[in-house]
Amino acid sequence: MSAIPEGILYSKEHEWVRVEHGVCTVGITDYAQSKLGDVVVVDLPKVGARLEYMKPACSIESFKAVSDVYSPLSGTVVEVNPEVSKDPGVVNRDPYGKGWLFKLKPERLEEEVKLLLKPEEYRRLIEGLSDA
Amino acid sequence: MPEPEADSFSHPYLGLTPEDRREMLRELGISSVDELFSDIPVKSEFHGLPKPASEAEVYRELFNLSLENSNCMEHPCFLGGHHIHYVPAVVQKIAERSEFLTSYTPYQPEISQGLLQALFEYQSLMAELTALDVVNASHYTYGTSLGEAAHMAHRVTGRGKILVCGAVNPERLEVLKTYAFGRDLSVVECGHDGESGEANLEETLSELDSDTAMVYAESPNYFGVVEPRLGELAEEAHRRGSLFCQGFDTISLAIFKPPGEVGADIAVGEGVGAYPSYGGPTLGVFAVRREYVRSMPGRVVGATVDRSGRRGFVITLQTREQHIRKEKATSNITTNSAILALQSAVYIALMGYEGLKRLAHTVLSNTKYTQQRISEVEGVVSPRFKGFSYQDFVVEGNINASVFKQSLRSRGVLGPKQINYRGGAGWLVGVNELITPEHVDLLVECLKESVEV
Amino acid sequence: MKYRQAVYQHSDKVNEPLLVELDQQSRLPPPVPDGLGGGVEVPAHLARMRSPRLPAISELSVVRHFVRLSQMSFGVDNGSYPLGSCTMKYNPKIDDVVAGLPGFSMLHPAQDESSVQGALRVIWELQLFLIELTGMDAITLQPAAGSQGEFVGMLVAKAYFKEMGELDKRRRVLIPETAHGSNFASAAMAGFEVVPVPMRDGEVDMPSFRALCDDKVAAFMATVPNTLGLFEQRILEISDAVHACGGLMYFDGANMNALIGVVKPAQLGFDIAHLNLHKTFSTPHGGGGPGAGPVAVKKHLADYLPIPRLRKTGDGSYAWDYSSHRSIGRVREGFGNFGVLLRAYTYIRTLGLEGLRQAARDSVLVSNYAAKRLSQVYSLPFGGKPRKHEFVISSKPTGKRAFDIAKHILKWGYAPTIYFPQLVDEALMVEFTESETKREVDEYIQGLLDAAKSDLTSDPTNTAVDRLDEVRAAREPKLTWRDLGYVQP
Repeated sequence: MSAIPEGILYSKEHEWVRVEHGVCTVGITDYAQSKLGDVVVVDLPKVGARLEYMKPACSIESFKAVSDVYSPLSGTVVEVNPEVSKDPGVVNRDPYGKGWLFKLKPERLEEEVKLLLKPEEYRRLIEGLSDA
Repeated sequence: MPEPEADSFSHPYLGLTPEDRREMLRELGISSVDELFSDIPVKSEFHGLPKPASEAEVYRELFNLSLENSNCMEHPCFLGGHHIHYVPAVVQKIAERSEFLTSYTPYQPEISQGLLQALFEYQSLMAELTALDVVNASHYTYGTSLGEAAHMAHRVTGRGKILVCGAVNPERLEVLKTYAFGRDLSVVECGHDGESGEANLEETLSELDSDTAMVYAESPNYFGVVEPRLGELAEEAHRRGSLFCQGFDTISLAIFKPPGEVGADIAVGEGVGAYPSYGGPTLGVFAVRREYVRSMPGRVVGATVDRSGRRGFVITLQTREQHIRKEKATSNITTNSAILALQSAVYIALMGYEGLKRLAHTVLSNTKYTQQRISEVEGVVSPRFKGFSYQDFVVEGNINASVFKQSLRSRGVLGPKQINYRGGAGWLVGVNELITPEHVDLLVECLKESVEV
Repeated sequence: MKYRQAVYQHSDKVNEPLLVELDQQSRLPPPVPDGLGGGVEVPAHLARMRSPRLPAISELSVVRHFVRLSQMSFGVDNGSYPLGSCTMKYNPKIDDVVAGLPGFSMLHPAQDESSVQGALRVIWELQLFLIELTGMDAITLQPAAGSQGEFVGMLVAKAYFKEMGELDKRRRVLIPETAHGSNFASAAMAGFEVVPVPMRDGEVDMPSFRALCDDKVAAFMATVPNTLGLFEQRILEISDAVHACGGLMYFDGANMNALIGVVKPAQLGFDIAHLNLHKTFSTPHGGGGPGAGPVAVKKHLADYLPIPRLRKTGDGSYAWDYSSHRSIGRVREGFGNFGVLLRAYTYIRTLGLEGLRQAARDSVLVSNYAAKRLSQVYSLPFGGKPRKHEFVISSKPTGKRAFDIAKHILKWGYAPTIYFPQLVDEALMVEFTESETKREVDEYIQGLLDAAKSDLTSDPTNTAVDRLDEVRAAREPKLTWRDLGYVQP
C-alpha cells in the first residue's frame, strides 16, 4: 500500500507539494516511484525556469520507462535537489523526504491550491487505479 | 459439425500438415481457415508471381545468374569511393552460427549473453580504434550514420545548419541532405584547396556561425587525401558552440590520427569484415564523446553484474530509444546491422593492432605504387591532388572517357570512375591489399590507349 | 521441455572472458600481402599518437571465443521464438548460400551496370513481386530496415505536400495508440507532429478518429493487422475519411505475415506501404539486423521515391536512372541491402505465391488455435474477434505478472514479448509463425499453461547468468572494456 503522508497536497499526475513560508517543495509520490521502478536519471528543471500549473516541468527515467513530472503549481524554480543527480535512487527510497525534486516560488498559490488533492482524495484516486 | 476442410498445400518451410490443420480447426469449431479471414472486406487477386519451385531448380537458376556478374575477386578492381578488403574465412564461419544469425535483438539478456558480449566487444574495439568513449551497437551505413549525426547535433545544440567541409563522398552528402530535409536543417558545402585537395579551412570558418549545429569533414576525404588540419577545425567549431563530426576509414585508424585525438564529438564510418555484396548490407559505425551518450541514437550494450556478482551484459540506456521514447526518441532505429558488428569484432580480433597496421601500410604502399605507375603515362597527372594520399587518389588528363571505359571492359578491369569537382574532372582510383603489379599493368595500358596527347 | 544452455565459466565472476582478457601481447599479427611500393612513412602530424588497446589473439582462440559466445545465445534454429510482431519464421539456408555466391557477394556497388546485369535482374524481379503483393505502382528497395522505410514514407508525404504548397498546414500524423514506437519516432524524424488515436474494443475508436480528421493531417499510419493481432475491420472507412480530408494512408508492414497473398494493402486504401523483408520474407534477424524495408507507393507518389531507380533500357538491359527533380533523394549509399534482397527473392522463388499465401493462412490458424487454448487460463482481450497471425493475452487472471511468467519460460526457451501493447495489462504478445509444427506449438502452450499454475519464485538458473542488475547498467553505464578498467598502459 502506497504511503500518502498528511500535511501535503497531491496532483492527479502523482506529484506532491509541500507549502512552507512562501516556498513550495515538489516531488513524486510513493505510488509514482513504485510504478516507475528504480530511478536512473532525473532531468531537473533549471533554476530560474518558469513553470505552469500541470504542465511538464522535467522528466524522470527508470531503466525501462520515462515519465513527465508535472508542476503542481505555477511559479519559478528557486532550487533543485543536488542529491538526486548524485544518487537517483533516493527518489525511490525517500520520495517525500530526501528525494524531493525542486522548489518553486508560487505565482497563484491561493487559486491553484484549491485544484490540488488532499491526502484522502489522492488515496481514493490511486485506489481506483490498478494495484495501489 | 461437418468435417473441417483443411488446406492441403505442403512445403518444407511450413510446419503444419493437413491433419494438424484439421485438428486445429476442430479445436476452434470452424470448418475452414477462410472464416478467420472473414473480417477482411476485400479479396485480392495476384498475377505474375512465381509458382513454388524445388530448391535445386532455384539454386541452379540463381547460380547461373551469379555467373553473369563480374566480381571484384575475379577481376582487377580500381574503383574508388567504397573500399573492399579481404574477409578472413573465420569471420564468415562465425557469422553463420545459427545462434547468432537467426537470433532476434537480445532484449532477453539471460538467454543472449553470448550475442550481447560480442556486441560489447565490437563497441570496445571500435572505441579503441576511434579513440572515442562510446560506440553504438551498429547503424545501417556510414551515410545514414552521418544523417543521424546531423539530427543528433541539432538535438544537442538546438541549431539548424550543417557545415560540410572539404571533399566528401557525394553519395553520403546526398544522404545527409535527405536526412536534413526530415528535420528542416540546412546543409552548406565548403570546398577544397585546388592544389592539395585538402579542405579549405578559411572558407569553412567564414561559414561557421552561431547557427551551425555541426561541422563535418572526412579523412581520408573523397579524393583520398588525409586531412591535416582537423584538430584546428574541431577547435574552431567548439569555440562557436558547434559539434565536430569526422567521417573515417576504419583500417586507416591503425596509422592515422583517430577522431578522438582530433577532437571530434561524433565519428561515423563503415564496418569491416563484410563482403561488398553490391553495396549492402553494410555497417554504419557511430561513436561519440561520453558527454553526448544520452543523445546518441541506436542500441548500446552495457556491462553489469547479476545477483551473484557474475559479470553480464544488457542492452542499456533504452530510454533513448523509440520503443520507450516514441516521438521524443533519439532515433527511430530498431533493426540495425548487428551481425555485421559481430563480423567487425571477429575481424579486428583476428588482425589485432599490428595486423591492422600492416594492412594499412600495404594499402598506403599500393597507393604510392599505383600513383607512380600511372604518373609514368604521358599526359596523365597522378595524383591530381598533392596532399598525403591513402587508398584513393584522383588522376587527371586528356583521357577519352568512352575509349577508356571500352579499354577497361575489354581487359576485364573494374573502374576507375569519372568524378567531377570544383575546378575540374578526373578519375577516382581506389586500391587495396589485393591488387597485383599485373593488375596495375592492365590499368596503365588502358590509360595509355585513352590519352589524347 | 527442458533447456540447458551451454555455459563456459572461467571463474566465479566471469563466464567467457572478454577478448582483451585473452590478449597474448607478444603475439605477431597474421600475414597480409606485402605492399608493392615499399615502405611509406606517415608524416608525424598525421600519425596516430596513442595505441589502441586491441588484443592480439591466435586464430583458434578467436574461433573458440566466438563459438562459445554463440552457444550462450538463442536463435530460431534453436527453438520456438514466438515474439509478437517479429515474425521469427524459419530462415531458409538456401537463401544464405545464394547470397554467399561470389557472383553476388563480391560485387562492388560502383561497378558499371554492364558487369552486374544478373544482380540487377534480381532487383528488378523482386521489385515486381513486391509491387504485385502490395498492389502498389512503384517501389524503392533502398531502405535498410522497416523503420527506415517508415522514415522514407514520411519524407515522401512531406515532399508531396510541400509541392502542393500544403506543408505549412499539414504537419500532423495520426497514429493508433497501440502502434510500435518506431512509427512515432519516424514521423517525428520527418518533422511531423504526432497525434495518437485512441482505441476502442481493440480497434481504432471511430468517433475520436473522425474528430481528428481535418486539413492539418498529412497521414494516418497504421499497422494492419494491429499489434493486438486484430484486423481493423473499418479500414476502408478510415481510408475514405483520411483521403476525404486530403491526407495519405501509410501501411506499416510489420504484420504482413497475416495478409501476404491474401489481400493487397493498396486495396485497403493505402497509398504508401513498407514491408519488412526480415519478418515476412524470412531473412535472418542477425541478432538485431540487417534487414530491409522496401517502400511501395501508388502512382501519384512514385516520383518522390529515392533515386536511383532501376530502368529497363531499349535493348532489355537494366540501368540505374539518376534523374528526378521530385525525388526525396538518396536515403543510403548504394542501392539497398542487396544481400538481404537476394535472400527474400530466393524465398519468394522457392515458396511461390501459393506458399506465401499458405504461410499467411497457417500463421493465422496457429495463432487462433493457441489463443483459444491459452484463454482457458489467461485472458484474451476482445475475445469475440478472430485474431490474425499474432495475439495478446493477459496474465492477470493467473495472479502472476507477465514478467515472472516470461522469466520462468526462459528456463526452457525464448519468452514471448511482454508489456506491449500497453493497452493490455500484464500483456504477453505471441506470434508462432507458420514454421512451427503442431507438436512444438502444443509444447509451448503447455509450458505457458503450466507457468500459470506453478510457483515462479525460483529464478532462472539454467541460463548463463542470474537476474541482471539493469538499473546499475543504466545508472553507471559501462559501455566498453575501457570503462571496465582495461586501458592502455
